[in-house]
Amino acid sequence: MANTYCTATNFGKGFFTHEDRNDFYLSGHAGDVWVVGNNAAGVSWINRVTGTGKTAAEAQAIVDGKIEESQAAWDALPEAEKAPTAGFETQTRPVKYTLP
Amino acid sequence: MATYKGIQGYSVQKLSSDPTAEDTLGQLFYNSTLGKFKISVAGAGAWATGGNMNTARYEFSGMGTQTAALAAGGDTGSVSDKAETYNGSTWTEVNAINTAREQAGPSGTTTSGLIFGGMPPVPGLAVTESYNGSTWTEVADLTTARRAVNGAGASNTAALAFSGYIPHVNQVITETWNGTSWTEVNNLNTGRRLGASGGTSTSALYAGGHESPADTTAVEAWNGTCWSEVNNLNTAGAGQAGAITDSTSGLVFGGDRPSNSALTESYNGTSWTEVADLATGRAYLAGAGSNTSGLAFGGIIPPVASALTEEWTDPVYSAKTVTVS
Repeated sequence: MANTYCTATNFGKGFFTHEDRNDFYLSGHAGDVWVVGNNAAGVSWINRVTGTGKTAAEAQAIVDGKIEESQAAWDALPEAEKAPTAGFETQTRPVKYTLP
Repeated sequence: MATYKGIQGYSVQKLSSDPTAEDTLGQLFYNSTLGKFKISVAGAGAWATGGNMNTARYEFSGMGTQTAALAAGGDTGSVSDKAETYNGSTWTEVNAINTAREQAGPSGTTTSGLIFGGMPPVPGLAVTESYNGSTWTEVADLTTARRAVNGAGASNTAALAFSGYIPHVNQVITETWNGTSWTEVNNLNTGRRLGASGGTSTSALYAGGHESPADTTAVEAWNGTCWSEVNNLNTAGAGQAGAITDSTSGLVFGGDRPSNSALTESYNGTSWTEVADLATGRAYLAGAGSNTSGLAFGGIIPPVASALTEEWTDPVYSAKTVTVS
């Protein structure tokens, strides 16, 4: 298995270091979900940040839930703000994706 | 049998702790505390976490360096007048800007900054504010009110404002600031908005952005007189941020490429190379610094504004344990 999954709160400076980034794959997602390279350095990092291990399905469900919340928020916007010419560039409907 | 001294001309040092890797690059040493042989190496560039911002925000103005950065205004769920500065570890709230706004152009540093344009109102503002490290003072307006303005400049007395959006047209307007007034100069070649920008008033880059009806990979370089097309980004997008020194050196990261991108590209004056991703992809963030020492802060992971900060360092020096088989 190439990656492992956890939830952990990014507390800022020192949460992950430059060396961490060179030692294992790491990407952050909605719901404090982290996809972590499955090697000794990655496992050590999860322990260091007191991460809670998740299965791929559990991590995907957390992210999907957050995206569904985002989609509901977008759907509730006035139609004028959804129009492409409105200039509210950030207001595009979030789409689900598969965690690596 | 060859010895290390015979090859390198000196013995392996026995040290109780790792030396500064940058100063001992390529040297083998013995860490007597750990009981391990180690070697100092220069690894690939990477992002690490910095201190979180006090106010999560996107579409704000950011400027400065990795260890001295400024964030002003933006969207925090509503348009904001808040400003804060970063010292390499911690963000500290400072005096607010006078006119709450988002999508304003930035230039300068934490002690000599400038913001200009933005919105609301939706057509755009012309208001310019100058920061002296303590307070914001309103100064002369842009010649053309607009939002989604990009900026470059080393201080609050030498800046460049370009691009922008006045519904429903992307702008090519470029203006220079001399500390007193704005003067319109040669236009961008291509009208677009919300790309990444940076540099000085005489040497700047503008990369990507939204060129209706689609995002673009286009990059233009400013030489103090005119804009010229240079090599494109690898991936089109808008809402990226830049850590750009001048027209020959910069880093572009994040953005809608598509949504919530973590992509990072480095420019060497000739071409763009994809390098290590941000850990957390996001759009409409801000950037500061250079392509060897950059800063990414804020942004949006829809629908929530982000307070995340990441610090880019290239190369990453470290001491690696040598394993012997």
